[in-house]
Amino acid sequence: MSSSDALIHLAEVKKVFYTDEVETHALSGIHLDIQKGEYVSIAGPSGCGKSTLLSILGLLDTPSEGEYVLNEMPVENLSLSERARIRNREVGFIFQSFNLIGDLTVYENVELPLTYRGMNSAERKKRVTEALESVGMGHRAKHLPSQLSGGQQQRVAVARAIGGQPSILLADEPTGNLDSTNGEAVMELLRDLHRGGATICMVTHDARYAQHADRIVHLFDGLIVEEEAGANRRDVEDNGRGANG
Amino acid sequence: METLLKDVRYGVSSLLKHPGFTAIAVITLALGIGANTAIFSVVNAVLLRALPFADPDRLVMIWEDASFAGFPRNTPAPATFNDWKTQNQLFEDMAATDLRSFNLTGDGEPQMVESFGVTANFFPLLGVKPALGRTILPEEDKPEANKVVVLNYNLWQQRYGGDRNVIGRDLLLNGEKYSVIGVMPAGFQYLDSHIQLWVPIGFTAQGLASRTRHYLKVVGRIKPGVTVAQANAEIQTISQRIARDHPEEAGRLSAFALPLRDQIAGDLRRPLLVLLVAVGFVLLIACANIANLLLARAASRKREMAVRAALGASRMRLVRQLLTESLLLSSVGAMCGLVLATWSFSFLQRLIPDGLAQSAKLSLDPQVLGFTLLITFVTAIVFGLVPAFQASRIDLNEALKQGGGRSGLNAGGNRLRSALVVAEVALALVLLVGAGLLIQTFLKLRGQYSSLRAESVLTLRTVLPQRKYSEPRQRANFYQQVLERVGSLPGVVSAGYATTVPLAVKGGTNGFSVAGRSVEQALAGGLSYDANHRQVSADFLKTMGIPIQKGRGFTDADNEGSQPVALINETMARQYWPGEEAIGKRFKLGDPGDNEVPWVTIVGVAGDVRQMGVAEPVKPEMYFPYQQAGEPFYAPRDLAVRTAGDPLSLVAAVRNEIHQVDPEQPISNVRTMAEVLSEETASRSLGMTLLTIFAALALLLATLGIYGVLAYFVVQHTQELGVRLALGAQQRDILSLVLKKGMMLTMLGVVLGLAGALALTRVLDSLMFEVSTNDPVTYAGIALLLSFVALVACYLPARRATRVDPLVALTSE
Repeated sequence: MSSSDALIHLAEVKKVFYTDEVETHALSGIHLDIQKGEYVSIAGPSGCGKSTLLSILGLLDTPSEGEYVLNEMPVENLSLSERARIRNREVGFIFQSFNLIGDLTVYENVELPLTYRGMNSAERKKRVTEALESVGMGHRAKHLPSQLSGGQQQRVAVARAIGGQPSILLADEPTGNLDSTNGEAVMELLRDLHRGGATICMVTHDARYAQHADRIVHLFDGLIVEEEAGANRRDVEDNGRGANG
Repeated sequence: METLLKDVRYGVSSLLKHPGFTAIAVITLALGIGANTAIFSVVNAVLLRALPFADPDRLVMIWEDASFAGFPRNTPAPATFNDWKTQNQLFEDMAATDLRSFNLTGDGEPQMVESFGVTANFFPLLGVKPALGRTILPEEDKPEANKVVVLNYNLWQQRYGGDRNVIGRDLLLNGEKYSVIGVMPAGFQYLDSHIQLWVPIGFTAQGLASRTRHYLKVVGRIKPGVTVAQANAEIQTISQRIARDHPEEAGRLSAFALPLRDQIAGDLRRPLLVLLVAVGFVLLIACANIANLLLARAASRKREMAVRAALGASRMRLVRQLLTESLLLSSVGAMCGLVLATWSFSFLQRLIPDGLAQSAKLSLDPQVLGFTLLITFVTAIVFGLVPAFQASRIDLNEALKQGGGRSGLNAGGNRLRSALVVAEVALALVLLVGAGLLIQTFLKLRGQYSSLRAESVLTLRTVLPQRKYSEPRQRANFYQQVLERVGSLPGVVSAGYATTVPLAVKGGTNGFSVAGRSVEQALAGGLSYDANHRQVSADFLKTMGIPIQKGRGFTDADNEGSQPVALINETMARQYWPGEEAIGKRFKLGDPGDNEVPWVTIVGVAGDVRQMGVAEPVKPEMYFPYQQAGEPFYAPRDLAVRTAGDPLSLVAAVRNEIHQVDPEQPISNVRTMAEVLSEETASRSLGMTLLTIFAALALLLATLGIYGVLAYFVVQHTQELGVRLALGAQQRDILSLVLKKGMMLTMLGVVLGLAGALALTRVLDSLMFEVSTNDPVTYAGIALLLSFVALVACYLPARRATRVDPLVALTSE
């Protein structure tokens, strides 16, 4: 698969932070392609640049240098407003701390990005209902986030991320604030979404969950030091061999 | 006690650790408490403090009611006073005064002094003893007695250097010798602050019998246990008897008693109470602001409170600690407020009515300090209690976790902050509407004199002594020479003499009869044939800017040898010759049968000037050429000079020209016509200025309140805003989100404020002039102004919200 077909194409992406007179190289030349429908996890120790990379992928931040093409469009030098528009349409976020808005109901939280997109209310309703149903939270639409468990809140966050049918889902330690049962459930949900065709890029430092992906990208000191196939890919390949054999 | 001291110590240290918060709170409270202290000190001096007389609650003024002639408080004639005094049962005593002007000469610069002629019982009735010497004896209150005078303290100090040997000294008053018998104490004043001496009234038998010369002011002391209502009833009974016995002179007159305090301060009661309510609103808004600050602070002190609670502090203990801090804040605010109030006293002294100007000095007396202490406590409770309870309501488990859960207020706290802002906006709007209505009233009041171009007119008073100028010819010579000399001064456009310039004297009326109308015909119309009597020189109306609407003005040809003529104002023409041409009609002063008084022919109609007071109806007015008028009582006193430049720059030159004519002639009341107008509107102007200042302060505090709540909202919701931005919200979405929140609170406040203003501004009804308290333009204008200011206040935090970096917002704890 060539890079020109990739949903995400990063070439020589660098990110430098300046604090007083100290220069910190968070990313030191990242080359990364993510294909449509791929499930990639980014792993590495604390401070290796995982979250910085995810922020750049999600257009929350811009690279200091390098090239970033998202869905065939160069996005490294866009205005704030353009970045917001593309973020709204192309990217779905799942945060470690859920980041649901406490004053809004579950339904309204999921609806929020669609509202920013200017979608009409009938279409919004359809999308929100589908998204909530797909994560099994349809029955909690009128609840406030504070009335939900952590696992349920993260499922709502997933629904919010997928409601707009983005090109890619970016998940930043999505199980970090959950117990193992709820963590497993959320990972299962992501896997289901991936099976349904979603492209996912997940940052995690938990090796077990990283294995859920097709591909695991290991970061160290701002560089990709290793890429390996995840258990998901191996399962698929094993299944393929079994079928062929 | 020990724990209280610890609370205080901790409170001081806690407040010192947050100097920004402490400074804002103290300044806000100083403004609120200071404004309340200042206005209360005026209320205390005018309405609460005892008048400087013995047993002042038993003192009443007794007035004639001549409402039919436009004088609801009319001065009685001596015979009426005598009837009241001799026929009553409920009064301990009654005294009469009349206003006199003297030229004080013979011992220095000629000086014009205002004085009261008083009956001998005047000082004993008031219960005030002299500082030096004695007061007037009954045997001195006779026309044939040796003339004596009692000085006021200021005249004694200024003219005689406080010399105690002044007793027994002779003064020349209007050229007559008077012997000084006493000096009244400093601050003694009865009604008029300009009175500098008192002389016996000395009624002659003929004078005391007069029922037609209404010039006395009567004060009475009611007997102990008698109410004002009872005294009133008795005076009315006597008055009915007088009306029955003397139908021609007193047939339509009534009478009433008015407590002396109401006489002196009655007109100020409502404006002062309005100001007191206004500063109360300002303090409430200040309290709401501080409460908001404390609520925000409570959120950041959650962990501190949790630790205290975990260590065993009860909720009430925490509340007490927080209230101690509130009390510390309000106490420091109060101390600064007292300094501000003291600074304001010299400005606010102008609110004291003339009748108390000498005796009521603003000061921090025990009542004022007690009031300040009270509002200091109440303020601390009002702004401190709810935040204290809010801060002490802690979920220990949540608060003591690492990170302390989400910092910030719970939903209840946020609702409370929002409600406080709504209340602030509503209160500010009520004050702004009140100020707006008063400003409009003031502009209308001043606007009606715009044609006078008062700023270019110099006025001064020359009261010609009766003994020196007893003949009309002598007076006419004086006026003529002065007008010629002053008129030829460079920079003088024109000059004129009149009995009084508008607003300087509100009275001086004469009854008159219309040619061809019998007394029965006149009475049948229900009209009072009574009008202001003004003797003027030919150029007076032109000098004052009063237009001749019909006919002609006076000329020098209208003199003692020509046909008697008069000008009347439009009101007089409309009232007495409705639907007719007044020019050419004839009338005469007094009784139609009085052959000594000539018929005068109306030759012109002059424009109306509201001469009885800026808000009083125009009174019918008749002008006569001074050369034709014999009545010395109305002889011209006020000189008006219209100038091309600054009128005050000509004072010395005009003074010099007058002294060229008569070196001994005192000159007084030197001021521009604009100053006359300003004096007339001074208390309204000051009240309007103060209410505007308080409304502006309220607006500022409410704006800060809106800003504070939104700024806090943005800080508290940084993470949420980051989420929204991460989800694709544009900057305009965030801007609109924050603006909407702020403007919703503002609009709610505006709606409540408009409703409140509609209800509360009714109390301003009596202070309005040609402006309705429901004036839609004012309401709409103020609502727009407040909304605009609120929008600016909302915009700043909203703009900051758009600059939230989603990356930072989402990664920070």
